[in-house]
Amino acid sequence: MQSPVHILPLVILRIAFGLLMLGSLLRFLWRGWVYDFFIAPEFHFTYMGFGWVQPLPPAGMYAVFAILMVATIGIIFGAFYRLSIITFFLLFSYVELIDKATYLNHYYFISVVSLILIFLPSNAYFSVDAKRNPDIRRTHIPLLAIFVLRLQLGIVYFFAGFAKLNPDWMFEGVPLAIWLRANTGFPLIGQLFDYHWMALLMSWAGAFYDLTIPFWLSWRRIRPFAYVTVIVFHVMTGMLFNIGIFPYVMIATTLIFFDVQDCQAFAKFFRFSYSPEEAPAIQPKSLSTRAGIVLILFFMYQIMMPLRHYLYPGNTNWTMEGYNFAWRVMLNEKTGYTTFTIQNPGTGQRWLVYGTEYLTAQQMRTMPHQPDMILQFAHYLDDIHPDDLIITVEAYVAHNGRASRLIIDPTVDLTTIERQLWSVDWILRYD
Amino acid sequence: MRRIRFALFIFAVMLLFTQLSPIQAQDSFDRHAMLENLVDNVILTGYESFIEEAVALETLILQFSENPTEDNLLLVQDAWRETSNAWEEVSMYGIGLRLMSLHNQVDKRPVNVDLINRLLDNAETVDETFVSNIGSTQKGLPAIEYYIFDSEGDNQAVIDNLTANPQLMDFVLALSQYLPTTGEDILRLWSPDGDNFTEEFINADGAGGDAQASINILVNEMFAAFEMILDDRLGDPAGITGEGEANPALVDAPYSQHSLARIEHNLIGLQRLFTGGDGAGFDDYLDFLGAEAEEQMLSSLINDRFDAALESLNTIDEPLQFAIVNQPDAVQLLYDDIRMVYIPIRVDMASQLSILVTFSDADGDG
Repeated sequence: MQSPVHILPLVILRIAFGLLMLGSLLRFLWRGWVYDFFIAPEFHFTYMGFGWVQPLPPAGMYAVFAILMVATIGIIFGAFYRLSIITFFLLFSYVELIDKATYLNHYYFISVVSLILIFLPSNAYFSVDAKRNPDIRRTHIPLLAIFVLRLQLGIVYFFAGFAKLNPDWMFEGVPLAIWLRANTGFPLIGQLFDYHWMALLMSWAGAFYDLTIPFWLSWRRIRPFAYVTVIVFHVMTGMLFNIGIFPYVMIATTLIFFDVQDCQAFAKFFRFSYSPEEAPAIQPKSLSTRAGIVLILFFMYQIMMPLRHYLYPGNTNWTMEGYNFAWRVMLNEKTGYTTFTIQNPGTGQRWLVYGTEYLTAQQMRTMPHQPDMILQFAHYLDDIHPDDLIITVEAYVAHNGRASRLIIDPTVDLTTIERQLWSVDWILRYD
Repeated sequence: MRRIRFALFIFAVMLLFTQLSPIQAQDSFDRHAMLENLVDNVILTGYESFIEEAVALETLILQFSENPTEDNLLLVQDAWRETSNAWEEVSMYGIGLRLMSLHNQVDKRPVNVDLINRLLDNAETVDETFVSNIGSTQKGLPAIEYYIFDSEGDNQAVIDNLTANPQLMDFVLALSQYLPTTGEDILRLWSPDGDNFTEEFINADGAGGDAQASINILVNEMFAAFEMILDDRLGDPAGITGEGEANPALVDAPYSQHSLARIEHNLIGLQRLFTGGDGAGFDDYLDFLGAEAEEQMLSSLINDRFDAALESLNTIDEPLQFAIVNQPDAVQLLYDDIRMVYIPIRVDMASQLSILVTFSDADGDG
C-alpha cells in the first residue's frame, strides 16, 4: 500500500469533483432550491443529535452557497486547497444537516468524499498551490491514498447492490416495474418497459452491476469496458429517474479506478504522447500507527452504517429505521398520506391537520412515509400551540405496489413519545 | 469481436421486432386511447353540458329582466343551480395558464361586491363587453349568485333590488351572456378547429413520473379537487380542519345555499374522470396493472367509496351551512367518507402510476 504510484488519478478526481460540485451548486441556485429548502420552510426536520443545526437568515444561506462555490473553484485549481476542501466539507455538510427532507444518498456521498479529500495531497500536482510552493509538489503518492477512494466507492456500490437482494426487488421486480411502466416513452427500449420480464431482467442486472462493478473496474483488461457500463448504467438511470447530478457524480468519481498506465494507453490510442514522470528515488514515509487506526475506524464505520438496520426488527424498507446513510438507493416506491387528529383536552376542540398547512412540498414528499419525521412533526404541532394537545395520526403508506396500510399505531398519542435511537413499538410492522 | 457483433445483431433484431410487433398492444395498456376517451367523452362532453345550462340560464335571465316576477326568478335560480352543478363536474380541468384563466372567468370565489359597485358607478354601458373587461372576482357564477339570491331567502328583496336598479339588471344579464361565451372559449382551446390543445394533451401519453405527461396532470387535478373539498369547502366551514371552530359562513355558495350540491357534483365529476364514463378510465388502467386493495381490486374499492360518499351526502337534507350546525355528526360522516375516497387515490393509485406530485420540483434518490 505504500508503494508509490503516480498522482494523476487523484488530480483528475479532484478537478472532476470540483467541477461537478460547482455545476451542482449553480443548478441548486438556479432552480431556486436555496429558497425552497432552507428559507421557505417554517419548520425543519433536523437529525437526532443535530437539533442545534438551524438555517441562517436568507442572506446568510446565500452567502453559504457563495462561499461553497468559491471553495469549489479552490478545489478545481488546487488553490488554497486545504482551506477550500475543509470549508467545502463543513459548509456542505451543514447545509445537508438542516433538514431530513433534503436527504439524498448522493449528498451524503459528496460529504464523505470531500472528507476523505481533506486528508489526501490532491493539490500536490497540477495546481496553483504546487506552482506557488514547489516544496509541496509531488508526482507520486502512496497507493493507499488512491486505494482509500476506490475502497469508498466500492463500498457504496457494494452496499447499494446488497440492499437490492430483497424479495421485492429480485422476485417481484418492484419497484422497477412500477417506475419503468411510467417511462414507456424512453428511447428505443421504452416499449419493452410494460413487460414484467423486462423489469425483472433490469432488476437483476442492476443488482449484479452494483455488486460486481468494483471488481470489474479493478481488473485492468476489463476496466475500459467496465467503465462503459458505468456510463451506460448511470446515464440510463439519470434519464429514467429524477435523481439530479447523482449519475454524473458517480461517473466522475469512478475515474479514480484508472491509473497512470491507463492514461498512457488512452493517450496512445488518441495518438498524442504522454510521458508521466518516473517515481522518485526517495520513498514516501509510511503511514503512522495513529493514521492507520483512524483509517480502520473510518472504514469500520462505513461498513457498519449500512448494516445497522439489522439491529432493528422488521423490514427497514418499510420502517425506515436505519435506512438513511446506508446507500439504499432508489430501492423503494413509497407513497404516503397523513391525517393528524388533534385534540385539546382543555377546550374539548378537535381538528384535523394534513401537513400541507405547515410544510413545504418537498417536506410533504418525504414526511408521510417516514415514521421518525411524522413523530417530529407531531411534536411541532404541539409546540406551536399554547395548550398541551393530544395528537394521533392516521398514516397510510403504499409500499412497492402493495395496498396502502397504516404505518403508525393510530391510537398512540405522539406527544407522549420521545425520539429514540433504538427501535420503537408504535410503528406497525407487518412481517 | 465476431461474437460481439453477432450479439449486437441479435439485439438489433429484437429491438426491430418490438417496434413492429402487434402483440404489444395486448400486453400493454393503451394510455393514448384512455386519454382520448377522457378528453372526448368526459371533458369536452362535460363542457358542452355546462354551455347548455349556461345558455338556458341566460335565456331565463333575459325573460326575467323583461318580466320580473317571482315565478321567473325561481326559474332563474333553478337554472343557476343546474349551471353550477354542470360546472362543478368540469371545474377540475383548468389545465395550464390559459385554461386556468378561463376557469377563473366562470367561477372565482368569493365575489368582490365592493369592486363591482365601484366599477358600475363609473360605467357608461353595461354589456357583455363591459363584463369581459372586468376581473374574475367580479363576474361568473359567484357574481350572478350574489344578485339573484337573498341569503334570507327573500325573493321579493331580490326582485326589488334588480328592478329598482336597471343598471344592475343589465349587469346580471351581461354576466349571464358572458358565461356561455367563456364556455365556448374553453371549447375552442381544446378543439381541433381552434387551438387543438386536445392533440397536444392526448399525445403526452408518457404515463406518470413526468410532470408534463397528461396522466400526471389529470391525477394532480384530482388531488387538488379533493384537497379543496377537505380543506376549504367542507373542512374549514365544518370546523373539522382550520382552527376546529365551525364557521358555516365559509361555505362556497352561502347566498344560494347550494354548497352541498356543488360538492356533490364535483365528486360526480371526479368519479367520471376516474371511471372514464362508459369508456376507458383510470379504473381500467388500475385493473390492467392488477392493482389490489384489501380483498378486492383497487378500482372497485375506489368506486365503492365514491358511491358511499355520494350516499352519505344525500342523507343530508338541508343546506350545508345549516347542516354544520344541526347535523354535525352527519357532516363528519360525510367528511370521513370523502377522505376515504381520497386516500386510495392519493396513496395507492399515485403509487401504482408513479405520479409526481407537482407542487415543486426536486431530485430524489432515496
